[in-house]
Amino acid sequence: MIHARINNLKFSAISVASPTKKVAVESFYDIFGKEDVDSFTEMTGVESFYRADYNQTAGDLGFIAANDAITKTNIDLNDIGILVFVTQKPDHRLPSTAFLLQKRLGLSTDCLCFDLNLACSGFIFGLHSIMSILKSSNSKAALLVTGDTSHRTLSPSDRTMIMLFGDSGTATLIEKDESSSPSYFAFRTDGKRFKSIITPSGAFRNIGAPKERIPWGDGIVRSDYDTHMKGMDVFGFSITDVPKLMKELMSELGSSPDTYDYFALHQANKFILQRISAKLKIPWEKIPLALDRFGNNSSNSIPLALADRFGSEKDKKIRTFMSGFGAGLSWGCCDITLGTEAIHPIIFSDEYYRDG
Amino acid sequence: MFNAYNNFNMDVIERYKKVFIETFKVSEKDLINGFASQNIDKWDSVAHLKLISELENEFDIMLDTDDLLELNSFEIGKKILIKYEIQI
Repeated sequence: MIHARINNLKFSAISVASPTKKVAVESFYDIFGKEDVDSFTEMTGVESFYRADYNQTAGDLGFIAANDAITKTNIDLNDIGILVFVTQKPDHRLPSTAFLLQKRLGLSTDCLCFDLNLACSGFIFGLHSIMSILKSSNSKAALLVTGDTSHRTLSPSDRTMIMLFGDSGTATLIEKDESSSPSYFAFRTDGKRFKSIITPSGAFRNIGAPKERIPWGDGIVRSDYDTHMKGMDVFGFSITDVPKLMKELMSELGSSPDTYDYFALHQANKFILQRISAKLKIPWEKIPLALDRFGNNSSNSIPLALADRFGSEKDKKIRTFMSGFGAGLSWGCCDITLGTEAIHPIIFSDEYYRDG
Repeated sequence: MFNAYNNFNMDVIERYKKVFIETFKVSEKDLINGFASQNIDKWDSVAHLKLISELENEFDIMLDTDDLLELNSFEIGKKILIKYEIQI
């Protein structure tokens, strides 16, 4: 594994934005049948999720969260020298959505901005990237923004995915602080399994693939422009490779599940979380659960679970072990200490950028 | 004793079949010829998780990861359960 330690950076704010439209999984009874939908809920734990309207993008949700983080900390905009936006659904192919966020937030031209194309591992990878850059720069603060509207590349007939994913955006403000506890990270990636979660067409490979949806080998009707997940491959990876890395980082740090107040894990599905909990002997009550109401939110999952659990709880210092895992395949974990006063309640908004 | 043993085994196989029948909404006769993930459309990842969960609850076991992933047919499932001392 590749691992890292980053000192003297504090988490000043974690903000999360969700669309207002709540979709109950039961609303799919007419499409997939009550029994199949109820089985899906039983296995995944997802009862509802939130979905962005046609005009609202991942960038919009990220902006709402970022604006909240900036407002709540009252930080000087000129202090933010780095902005990274993690997404699989940019506003445009060109330029990176980070530049639009820079404009909308009023950040200076002395701010380093770019996008990271990552999915469910994106928060951990993004955190490490932004904290590393901040440490090596003269900037006082950095803003990690994540956003996704996963449903936009899902086949409406894909019963394994269309009821699983919710839309949201998050922002994490990091500042230099000599008194902060160190943060620790570990990562692995495996490009050999790149086809395990893939949207085969729509970029610049497989140009001209037919847009018509047809039945695939698994019986699901989709096109190459729809995201395809090899369910059992991803499930196997989630319950073997991911806990293995978590265990390795804990071993490296000389820590154990007892060391941590909470385990903020990517909200993939409940069965996976239960399996990881059992495998690593993590008490179930230490794992905040938001996927029942919000679904799987890609790179937003971890901050969303924190905001859902601690958004109204202040003045508590928590040592949290986090793990994000997904497309690539890629997986990462980290050991972070933060104060719950930095974690803000989820904002619900359908605001979108009219000049985009 | 011979009859009691056979009855017990019959009970186990009936319980095993019942899990498959209820998970995939099929009849018993459908389980005879090569009932496997590669030729059953409904055997997707969600159905697989449900099958595993129901088998674990029915027989009070927790499958190892490798077994959980390899349990992809009615016949293979029987061989796997034998490893957990389920006398099928």
